[in-house]
Amino acid sequence: MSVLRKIDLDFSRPSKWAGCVIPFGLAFLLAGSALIWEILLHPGLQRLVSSSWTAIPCQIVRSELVKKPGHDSWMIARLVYAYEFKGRKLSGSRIDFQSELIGLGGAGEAQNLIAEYPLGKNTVCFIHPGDPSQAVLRRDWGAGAKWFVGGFGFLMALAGSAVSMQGLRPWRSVRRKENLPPVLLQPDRKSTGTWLAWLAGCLFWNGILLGLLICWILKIRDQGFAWTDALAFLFGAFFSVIGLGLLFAAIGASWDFLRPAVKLLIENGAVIKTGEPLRLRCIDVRQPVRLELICTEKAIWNDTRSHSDEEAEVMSISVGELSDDGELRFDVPFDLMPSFKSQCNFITWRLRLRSLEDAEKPALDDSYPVELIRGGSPCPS
Amino acid sequence: MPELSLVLESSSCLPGGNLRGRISWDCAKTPRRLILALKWRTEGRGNAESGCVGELHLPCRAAKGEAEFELEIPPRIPPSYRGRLVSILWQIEARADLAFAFDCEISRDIDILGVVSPEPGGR
Repeated sequence: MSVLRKIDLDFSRPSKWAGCVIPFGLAFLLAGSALIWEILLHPGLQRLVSSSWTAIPCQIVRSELVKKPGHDSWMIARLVYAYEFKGRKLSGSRIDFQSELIGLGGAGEAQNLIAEYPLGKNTVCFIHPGDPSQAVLRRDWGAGAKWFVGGFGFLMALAGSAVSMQGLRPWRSVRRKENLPPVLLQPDRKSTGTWLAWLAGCLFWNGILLGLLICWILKIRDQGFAWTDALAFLFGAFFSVIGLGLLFAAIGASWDFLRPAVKLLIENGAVIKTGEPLRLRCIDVRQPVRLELICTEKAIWNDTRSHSDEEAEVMSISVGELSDDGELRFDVPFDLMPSFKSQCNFITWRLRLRSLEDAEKPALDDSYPVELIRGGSPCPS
Repeated sequence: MPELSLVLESSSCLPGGNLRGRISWDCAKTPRRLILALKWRTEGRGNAESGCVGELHLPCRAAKGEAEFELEIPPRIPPSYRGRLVSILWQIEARADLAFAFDCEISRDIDILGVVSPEPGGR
């Protein structure tokens, strides 16, 4: 008997060529990180360390505009300052901690420096107390441009990480599905982000409307009613309808997000095995409820112009009924189709919990996503 | 023109079961190897997708010949499925890897059975 080599059971795995993007991603990540280090971190650290440096008097002994080595038209300020520390005569030329990469101020900035530090000027420099040969004239760590260039570096590093992670997907290990710890499942309701988005949208829109309404009332009170106010009223009424719609949507989303929910304590990390018993503990059951195991198919298709998807509930199996907090035991049939997930085709399972009263419109109707895998040992053919 | 034929003892198998068959080839030159692959594909409403779960390489020492094989189907693969929106289909593909020539290939659809009973005395 022969065994297949390199068995790959990750059906959602992208093309094996996805790994080709890793070098590009890493190049962006490295370039972005180098930029962040050079522009922000290194000068910032130097600035931090230099806060304990000693300030001593110094004199500018050279102040001139020179061409930057290797550049014919890039003028930079060349400043040399002399200082004395414990009887030793020393000199320094470091102006600040700014990276040369953002010294883009050109001749104008260089001339300003020359004007600020003319030859013979007595000023103050900062020296390292342990190594007085290290000195700096100003403890700045760069112009405002550093945030722009550093931010660009951050974006590069971020994009590089995302591309590398995407490329690494084919090599990520498939999640272990045996002997996982029990988990407490919350119903699959609208996410916090959706709820906050509705709330923020409602407050923003209606806040503006309220502000305009107050201004309108104050204007009428001070100046009396004019025919233009009637137009403003009609205009405002139209936007108020949208505001009311947003308000109802926000209230609905809040209710959906905040209403009490039954929690399910489920074994093996919400991974259910076919042919094996499923034990569930229901918490916060306040009314008689029914639990069902539901199978849903989902298909995604793209054409040149659109991206569409469709879902269909294809199977429903009764798990049991409860009227109070307690445990449910259910023997999962062996012949159920396991969960399947590829890039565009999905077979998913969820536990659906509904209140028994009012079957048409139950007060409680929540779903808890689970994963169904093949359990037991099938008989050989 | 190279010829390849694939005969399976049964066109259906349980996950974890064995699939027996015979492959015969008749090529102008000796193939470097024969490759048997267990492949899946989806059909239905969504975008069609496909993939290979695993391969088996058989040595080949002549331009013409015949070999029997017995393949162990991985136990955790999803069974063949025909749903309302999504269908999952399986096939065995045989390929003769020819040096400096187009490979010759043939495939047979198989059913990975989903309705199985737990072992007697099991859970």
